[in-house]
Amino acid sequence: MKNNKISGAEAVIRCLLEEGVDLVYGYPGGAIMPVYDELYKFKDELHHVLVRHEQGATHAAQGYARATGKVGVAIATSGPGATNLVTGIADAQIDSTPMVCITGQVGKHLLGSDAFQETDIIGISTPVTKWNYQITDAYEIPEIIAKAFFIAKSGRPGPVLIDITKNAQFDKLEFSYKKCTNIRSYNPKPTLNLEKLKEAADLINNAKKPYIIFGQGIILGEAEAELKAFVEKSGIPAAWTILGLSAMPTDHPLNVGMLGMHGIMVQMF
Amino acid sequence: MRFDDRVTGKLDTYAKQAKVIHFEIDPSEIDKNVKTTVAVLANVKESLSALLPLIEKKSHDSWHNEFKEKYKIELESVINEELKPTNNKGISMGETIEMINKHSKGDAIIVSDVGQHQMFACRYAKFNSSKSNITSGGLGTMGFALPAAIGAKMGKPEREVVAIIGDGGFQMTIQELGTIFQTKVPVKIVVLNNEFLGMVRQWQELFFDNRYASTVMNNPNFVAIAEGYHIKSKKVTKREELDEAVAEMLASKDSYFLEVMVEKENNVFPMIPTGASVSDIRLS
Amino acid sequence: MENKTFTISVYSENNVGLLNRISGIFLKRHINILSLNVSESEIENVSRFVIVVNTTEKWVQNIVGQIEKQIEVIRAFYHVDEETIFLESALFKIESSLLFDERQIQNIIKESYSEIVTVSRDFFVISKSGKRSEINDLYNKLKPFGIMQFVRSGRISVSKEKMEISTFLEELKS
Repeated sequence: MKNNKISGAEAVIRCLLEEGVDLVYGYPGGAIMPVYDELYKFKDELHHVLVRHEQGATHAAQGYARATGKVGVAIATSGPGATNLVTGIADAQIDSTPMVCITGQVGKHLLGSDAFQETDIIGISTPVTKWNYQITDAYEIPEIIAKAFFIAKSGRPGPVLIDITKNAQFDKLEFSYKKCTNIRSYNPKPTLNLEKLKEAADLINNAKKPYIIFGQGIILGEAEAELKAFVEKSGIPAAWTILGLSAMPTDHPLNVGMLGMHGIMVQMF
Repeated sequence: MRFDDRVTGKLDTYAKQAKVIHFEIDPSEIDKNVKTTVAVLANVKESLSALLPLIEKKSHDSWHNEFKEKYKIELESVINEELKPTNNKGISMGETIEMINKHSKGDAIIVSDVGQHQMFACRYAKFNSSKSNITSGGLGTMGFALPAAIGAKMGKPEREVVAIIGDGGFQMTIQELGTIFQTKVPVKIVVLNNEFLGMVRQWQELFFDNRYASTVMNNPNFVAIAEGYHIKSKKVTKREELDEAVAEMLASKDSYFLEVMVEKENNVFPMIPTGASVSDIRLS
Repeated sequence: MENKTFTISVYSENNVGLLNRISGIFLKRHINILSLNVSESEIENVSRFVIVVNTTEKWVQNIVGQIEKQIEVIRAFYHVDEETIFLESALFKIESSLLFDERQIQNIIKESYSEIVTVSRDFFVISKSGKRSEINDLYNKLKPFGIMQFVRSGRISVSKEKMEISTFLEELKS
């Protein structure tokens, strides 16, 4: 068996490929250069789109995620590169969009020394990420990236930021990859309670003025067909939030319109 | 859905008489804003599949008619005028959206930015399939649409992707025209230009006695900028030009930039003012 | 809804940054943390937070929900004072001469059931564990004589009811 030691930067690319990523958005810089060097080598398998501002990378990743249902990926360097991602990350957080952001960071030994383009992006992004983590050693890369994708995509999706110090990108590791399927402290799939469901069904069947309001959960849960079947069988008029829009065709006879500040006249009786 | 404050309006008058069944995957959303009668926690796909056999086949015609009656009022007082302006006013945002509907037949992915145009796009755009409406909802980030449209088109190259952006938001991430140029991704960009920060101006008109503080936008020649990025461009100032311009844009196999000069001081209605109850919705 | 004192107990993985995440949840809601203690718990590699706040029950439910949502949090609970056994500790550093010059001090120490931790030529240190009111009481009695240094710990508490973490973790394994 040949020596499986590769650099941390190469490991990052291999992890992305293992997760089925074929398109990333980003903007290079000093602290993320090793990763970009690997992106160059892998350009036939993993396509990188150079944006013109890191905020554009996050929004492009969001647009990609919303249109496809896959996890959007954005890559930036440390310091201002990383802080320019924050708006897009906050947007993905509140709109529950699956996204993984990878930022370069100064070398482990420089952390906290106010080095060039050093910022505490973990501290800055904590309130606006579903999860974040700073990788300081190469061996952590496969497990953390696997965790990042699992967290971003599962349950209620959201943005994850992984900060990788430059030494971790250069150092070598024995690479092997295993997708993350379980984190003991995280339960993304609550178990359906059939009692509650029966209660709900009874209420619905006996309702005189039932009203369905649906949001993005239908789209994120890929439940469009189920919603349509429910609406049609129950005959209940349905209204949508801005992010639920298009889960049901707009000209469906039971679609009564948009909710919200500028929605239809009648949003709740 | 998470009962966002713009959906509920004032919480202490929202759905007070209703029994609420909340289908939700995130336990912390239950009872967060609205009191739930029955919480069904799971992935909604699973819940609805399991619910379907337990539901009786019904119709609620007279109840549904109450919605239709109210919609008729909305149609007459707001919608018709917006979609087919009769007076001598300029092009409205709503009628531009209708024109896009006509040519896209409801099959395009619409990516909207943030502001009045976003509300018009969400109210009036036609959608036949899911994952077709992409906009910044909770955060309301201006500048979202141009790069997001790039991502959407690259993710779904077989679909038409149309970005609908205001003159303000367009300038927040305008540099991404460079990404479009370099990658040649064929997104269609429509800028609805009213030379104002429209939504803020509307609030200033309605609640601040028309004091337009910092909402007047002196804009550059957007067509020249887009052409500087080697993107095919056109500017429409008259109603008669709109049909052909939209048709040309959607027929193009390359990226296309269309600037539409719209009526400057139009307002989005209906509207529930902040802090008001949903029943306080106003039509003008 | 009126404000009450609640104790929030959090069981989590032992990871850097989780404290920041959790305190951010209070910050976002502009809620003041009265006391915060973090330590290992009775389960290996599982940390335990004890956070005391004064707010409404609705807000506490909201906060506990948000805390549990964090990836590295295993479970979070909240209790009122009556549902827990709790105490705090305090240390008082006092000039040694006062022990001899002020006779009352010896009585105060005896009556407060506090312990003398160390005695040296220049200073002695007493420690007191118990309810906050008892510590406050001792503080007020000693203050007129002069306290060189004083420090109080955060609240630590255990709930009267079971907090089913061990079985919960076992269930997850299977």
